[in-house]
Amino acid sequence: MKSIRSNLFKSTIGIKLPLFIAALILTTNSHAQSTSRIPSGIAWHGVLTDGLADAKATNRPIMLLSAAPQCAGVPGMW
Amino acid sequence: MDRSFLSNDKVIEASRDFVCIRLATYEDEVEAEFLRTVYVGRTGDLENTVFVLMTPDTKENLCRPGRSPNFAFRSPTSLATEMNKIAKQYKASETGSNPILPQLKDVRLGLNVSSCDGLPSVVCVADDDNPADFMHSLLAPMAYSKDLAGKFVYSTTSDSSMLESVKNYTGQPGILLIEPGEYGLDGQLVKFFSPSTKSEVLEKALTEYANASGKVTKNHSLHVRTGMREGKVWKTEIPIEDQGTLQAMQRKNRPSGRGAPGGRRPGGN
Repeated sequence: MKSIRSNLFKSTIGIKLPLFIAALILTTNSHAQSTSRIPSGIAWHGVLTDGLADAKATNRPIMLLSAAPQCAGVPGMW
Repeated sequence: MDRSFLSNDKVIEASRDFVCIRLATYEDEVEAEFLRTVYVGRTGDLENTVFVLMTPDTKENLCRPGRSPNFAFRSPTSLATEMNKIAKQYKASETGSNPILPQLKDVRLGLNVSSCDGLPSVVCVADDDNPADFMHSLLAPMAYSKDLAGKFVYSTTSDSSMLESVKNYTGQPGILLIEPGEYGLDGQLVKFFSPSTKSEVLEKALTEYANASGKVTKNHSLHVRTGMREGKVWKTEIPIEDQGTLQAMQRKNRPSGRGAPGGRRPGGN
């Protein structure tokens, strides 16, 4: 009985351990995740003169935002 | 940047009746001067982020300016409601047949912003025979279309060497679809369109790509920590003024370890 339990334990560990390690690697390494499709978003002018020209031409009010495309000097993050 | 407001469906819908301008702070002196007329912090310095609603001529603010939408609005819904109310006061004319492509000022910034947003980049590479204006005229209507608005980050260059860090790109003029690298310092060419590509073909390809690929989201603190460790550095065009950012950068540059100034002392926490 003991050996059956022991074998069962070993086989369970044998299956689960690689899965656990894989999950651990995924959760510690993947700090980037992706949605299944790109959602709609705001169409931003990134150049002030372009945006102001657009507002003048179309008489639409302006939503103005500015943000730094780096965090503590590291790019790829607002 | 407050994503909860700007990724809200109601705000996105309301934004269609506005001209939306998102500048990159500390990346242009003239734009920085303009931002200083809109909002500066208590220290008088230009802070990392600025937000305001304005009249089309920029002469009047239509909400309290601040670092983010939540300076003036309690929730994304209240921002969207106010935007819809404001839009009704303006008789907007159509963008017409010649809309302006919403793009970044150069490809270096374009790739970085693309990575920040977790969106693919579309880059126009122009030369004397293939003017940027023509490529812009193809892309601009798509950039505001219901299916594609806000799904790609656009930029333009006439110097293909600016894209040396983009894998699989051979330097030909045309329209490039690029997946940015994790830090926006490089990227990978996904699709190349010749400058003579028909707009229907381009629109179909971009729509299919947007539907098949996703928006990348990153863990903020892990991204910054890993970036610092790996020496991923962004050089701004003008000096950073935001005190919080400067302090964080000083902490980053401080030597650490036992005995070093500011480092961990034996037995310390």
